[in-house]
Amino acid sequence: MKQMLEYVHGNSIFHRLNPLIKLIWAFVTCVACFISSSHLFLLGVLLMTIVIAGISGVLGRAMGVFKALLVLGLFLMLFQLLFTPHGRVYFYILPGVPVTDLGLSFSLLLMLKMMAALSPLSLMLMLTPMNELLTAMTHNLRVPYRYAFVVVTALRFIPTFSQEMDQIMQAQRSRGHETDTRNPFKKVRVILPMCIPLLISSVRRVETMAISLETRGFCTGPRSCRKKLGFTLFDLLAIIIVVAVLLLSIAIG
Amino acid sequence: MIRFNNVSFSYDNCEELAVSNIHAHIDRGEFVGIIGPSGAGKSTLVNLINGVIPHHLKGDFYGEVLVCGKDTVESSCGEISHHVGSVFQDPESQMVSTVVEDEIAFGLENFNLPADEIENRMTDALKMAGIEHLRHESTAALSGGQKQRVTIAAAIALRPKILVLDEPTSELDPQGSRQVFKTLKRLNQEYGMTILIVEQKVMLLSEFCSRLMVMERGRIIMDGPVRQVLEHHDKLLELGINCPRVVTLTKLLKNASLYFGEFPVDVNEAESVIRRIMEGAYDQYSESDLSLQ
Amino acid sequence: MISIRNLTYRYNKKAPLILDHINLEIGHGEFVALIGQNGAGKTTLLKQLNGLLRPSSGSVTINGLDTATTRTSELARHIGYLFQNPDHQIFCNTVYDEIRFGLVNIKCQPELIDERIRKISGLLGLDHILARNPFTLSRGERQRVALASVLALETDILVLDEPTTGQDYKECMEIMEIVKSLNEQGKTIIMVSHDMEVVGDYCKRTIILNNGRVLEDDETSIVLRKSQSLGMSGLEPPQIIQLALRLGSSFHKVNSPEEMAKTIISCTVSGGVRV
Repeated sequence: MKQMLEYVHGNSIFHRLNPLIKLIWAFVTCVACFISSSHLFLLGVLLMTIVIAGISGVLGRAMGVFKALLVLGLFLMLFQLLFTPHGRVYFYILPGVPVTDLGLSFSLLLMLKMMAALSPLSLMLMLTPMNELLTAMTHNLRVPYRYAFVVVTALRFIPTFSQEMDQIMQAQRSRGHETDTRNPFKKVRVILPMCIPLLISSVRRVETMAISLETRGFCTGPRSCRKKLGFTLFDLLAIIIVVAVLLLSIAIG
Repeated sequence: MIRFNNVSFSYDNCEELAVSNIHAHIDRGEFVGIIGPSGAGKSTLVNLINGVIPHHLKGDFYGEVLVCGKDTVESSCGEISHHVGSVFQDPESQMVSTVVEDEIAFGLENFNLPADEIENRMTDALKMAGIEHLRHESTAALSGGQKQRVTIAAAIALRPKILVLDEPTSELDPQGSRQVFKTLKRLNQEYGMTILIVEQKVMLLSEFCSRLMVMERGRIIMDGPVRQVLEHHDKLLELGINCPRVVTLTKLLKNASLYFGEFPVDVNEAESVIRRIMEGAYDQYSESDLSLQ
Repeated sequence: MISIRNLTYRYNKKAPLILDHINLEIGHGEFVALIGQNGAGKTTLLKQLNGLLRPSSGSVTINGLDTATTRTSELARHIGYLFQNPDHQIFCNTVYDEIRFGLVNIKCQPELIDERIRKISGLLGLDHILARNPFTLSRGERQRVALASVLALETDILVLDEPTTGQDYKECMEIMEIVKSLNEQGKTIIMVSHDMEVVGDYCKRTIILNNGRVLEDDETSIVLRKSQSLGMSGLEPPQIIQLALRLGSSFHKVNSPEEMAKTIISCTVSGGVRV
């Protein structure tokens, strides 16, 4: 979770891209993938994401994300497969539960859709510093600063909370609590109470943060911005590519 | 610079007074350490100065707090932050950005300063805190001591005349704690900043501060130059407040009538005290030795 | 009792070593301080002891159990582990339930549970707040609740990660006196601390960890005199030992203000020790 959303420091061409473009790219691709029902197009998007990750030097991290999405995708695929009885039957998994060509194709599409739609979002977060994201949201997209700040700060605290949750789980394991059960239902029952310390410590954190913000003039009036985010030729090129991808997805259908 | 006129305060939903009948005056350029058992009202005192009380934390407020001549009740928290910079215990919860530079710019941007002014102040703040080399670092990669110095830089970027800190070193290792205190000393000596720090590490307080306030149950029960306060060594221990070991040692030497001077506040001073005692004894001995011949 | 052989640890194959060939034997009833900079691997080493982390290579054996193959819940019967931040540990609605939690986990006989809780809360002065919600208590009290919940398991080894951080001097002394009495009752104590005075006053043996390696391992009064090793780890000897080191050989056994005053007095009375 932590790895999927954290900014990775770098100076590649995609790191330097205007954050607005990256934001648009991620959302447009996401939407395009949901619209599209072409295996080929989705594969293309996935490939593009991998290439971008490679050029930006975050391939290792991105592969982790792909792996996580793949596991999730395979689950989705399996479910879809079991609940699509139409089409030519290849074989039966269980008596009365057939695997069909339509089912296979449709479930594969679903899996690809999810992977291709979500990976650009995760990649965008890896390649854009929080602060630039905030600027793009408030200055370009006119999201009120207060709300944009909440979104970005929530993202910023995810690693902190995930570390804290680790500590809490370890503390309970040290007292003989068995959290390493395989049964997912049991696991939820075991883990749920541990959210209480997390909740309480996050409330404490939020209180400190609120006071710290208060003493630094948060939302006292109009706000200036240190970095002007300019558009370069490459930004223009990028936006053209993004639009082209969107059109392509509509064209392919 | 800071004046408390008969201040009492109790938080909402709490009958007991967090601080009561506080009278104090802090001058420009002082470096004040505040010490006392937990629950003594130290944090409340700090929050009264930076305006967090009564603007963020509510309760019953009596008396008045004047910061740079202005009543804190009448100015907003934002206005006060131009006079008072604040640093708190946990650096992690105070940081809003993932890059050092952005963290320092945050407050400046909030006050709608133009980009070149932000740049100037940021450079100054980094230099004052002695962390120019960290400017482009990611905050996640910093040690605790470095993080806390970034939060100090972020606070002084607004160019306040006063800096208040609430147990800024409690999560740090000895080296990190010392780094923070050295930075504060620089700010105090080179830039004339008035500093108030709440701290449990009495050794660092006596080494670095010029004035010590001891709080207990909402009151300031001792207040004066560090050496003067440390003279009440027994009283401090009785209150559950630690004393530097060199002070304990000096007290023992005084009881043995070997020493009558001021209390040393660090190892260097203690060393010269002991050397004087022992050389004195040696000289005496050699004098009597001579007279025998 | 605790035997660590050639222990190395890294988070994954590409990550740098966090623990680098550590060899340690800690016997029954010892009181050991583990000191070093943040990031030196102190907490990582502690977590190896009860299987929260497992060796990348080498071995850790606790009372004959290999941590690589023993579950943490099993090791919990041998090692009590107090986390640095009590708020990570506490999650029950009452202090009583909090202490009971671990006992239920290790399948303590139900008729013994109440007795153990009463005993431990008496020892830590928590009797009057057993029905309170831990989150409404002060930080010092919460630390004692966390300690009680660990002590209730009656393990013979106790691991403490900075038990005195965030507490005032009085609370700090209270905790340390309890730990001291537990050690006197025969429990093995391993403690991480940043407070060299606490280490000097309470711990018998001190280990300096630096960059994942054992830099020093000896009697506390000897280790605290190694200014260079301490300096490398961002630490310095306690004030009195610093003084003793500067004042020369007549002070080589001095560890406390009382001992130092006595030495100075004896020097001035006998009169001829040039320093």
